[in-house]
Amino acid sequence: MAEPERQSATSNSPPSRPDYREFTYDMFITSAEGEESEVVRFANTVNAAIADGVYAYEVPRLEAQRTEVKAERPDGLRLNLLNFASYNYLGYAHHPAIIAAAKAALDQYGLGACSSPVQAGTLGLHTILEKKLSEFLGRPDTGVSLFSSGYAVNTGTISALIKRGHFVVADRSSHISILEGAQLARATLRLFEHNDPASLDAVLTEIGRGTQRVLVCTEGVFSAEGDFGALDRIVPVAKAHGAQLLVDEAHSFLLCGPNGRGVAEMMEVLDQVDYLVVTFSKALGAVGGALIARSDVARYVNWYARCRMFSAAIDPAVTAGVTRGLELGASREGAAARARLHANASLLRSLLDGKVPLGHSESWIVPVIFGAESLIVPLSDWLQRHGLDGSVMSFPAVPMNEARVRLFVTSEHSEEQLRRCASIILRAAAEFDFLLKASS
Amino acid sequence: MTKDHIFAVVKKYLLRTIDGVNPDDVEPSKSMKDLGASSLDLVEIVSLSMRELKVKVPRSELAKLNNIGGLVDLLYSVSLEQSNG
Repeated sequence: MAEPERQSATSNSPPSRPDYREFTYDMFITSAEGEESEVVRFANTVNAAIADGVYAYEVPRLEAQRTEVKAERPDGLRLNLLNFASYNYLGYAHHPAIIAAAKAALDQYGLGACSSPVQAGTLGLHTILEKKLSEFLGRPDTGVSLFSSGYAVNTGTISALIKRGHFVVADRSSHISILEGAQLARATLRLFEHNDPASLDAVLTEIGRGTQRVLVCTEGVFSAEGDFGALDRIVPVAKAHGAQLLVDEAHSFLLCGPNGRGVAEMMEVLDQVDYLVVTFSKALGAVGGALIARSDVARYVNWYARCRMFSAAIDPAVTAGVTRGLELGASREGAAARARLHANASLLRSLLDGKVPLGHSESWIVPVIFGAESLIVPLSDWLQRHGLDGSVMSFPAVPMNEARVRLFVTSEHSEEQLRRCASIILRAAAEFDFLLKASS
Repeated sequence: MTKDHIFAVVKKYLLRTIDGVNPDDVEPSKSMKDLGASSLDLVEIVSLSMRELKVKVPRSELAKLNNIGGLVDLLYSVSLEQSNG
């Protein structure tokens, strides 16, 4: 593909219209009095980037999220992308056996569940999935509450179980769905430093033991950092203070641990987790999620998580596909895919280590931290035009000046693709000046 | 507009936004992160303060700040520039 001339990322010439090179998400969250509204300013900024042909977000894919994927921008630019931007970690979004199961469910049950799960939306397929999930986790007597999005599991569960006057104590790097769950509950939110048991201990000590409920929230894999939750050190602190514990395994369920149950299993604390959150949109390649908890708790959440009660149940095709994915994940094939995933992630990290900043990545998420938020738009565009798609993330999702492109490794990437990805990243690092000094 | 006034405005929004902060702990030498602010809290406190003070600070300047005192100084200097401009 011929590379069209692109705008200089470092030009100092004053912009004659909104300068998308300075685009950051937080600029449009609120609006100062007396200026154009944030909606208008945001639209103008995006439109300027589109007009210059550099807007690399929301680019429609034209096929399944395989390791190489065709996409087309609204201006007609066709892109052949090496896909490190989707979290289809095991390739289950397009696995033939899973697609076959989904097609069969579509034929039998139709397109949608067409009702809230508490009322008419619970299908036979849903109860099968609930049973499979609890069996897969080795907790056959436990309860399962299915949600139509992983985000909703956290907001729904936390706001159902935690009330005003209670405490949510969350890792500083927690997903926004956990923080919003606390807000929705009108609980008091306290943060502890990322993966730091001493910080958690200090917060819990300050709260003290009283009649109030305290919920500690952490994750299996932190999606911005790519590191594991230090569950082996966090869980004992939470338990010592009598707190309840929620662990979000969105990016780790089916991906690690002796049986693929996640980081809590890998760190041998699964039986101490009160509320286990899993999603179907990552390793299972679909959409939706579930809370796994004591059966009376799951029943309560079924009713009192308002985003579940007042929303349609997961659709039949996805439910059947996820169920089949769980079976595959529990099989020898699943174990082999996990081993490939881990080997692929190690290879990509080794190709980049010492050359570009990788933070503390130790999982299948490899963040390349390029730093300056002013690079977000030009770098995203450059990467796509050079054949690579990653997931760019910036403040306030990550700390200021620590903008990054996350590379989601999958079990399906070939060695050649991993090497090509690293090569493109290193060229980008040279072009945009984020090579580590020792390697430049 | 005095620095004391600006500090009072920032403190007001900080206490409204972050749970469980002791008002006596809000000092210029502390960072909002030290007081338990999330990144979104930070955006909210700065935006609300700018709106009340009618001061607009360039985004790139905010990235350089280390503590509440730095934010107050920045808001103060920009307010002077705006009133002189």
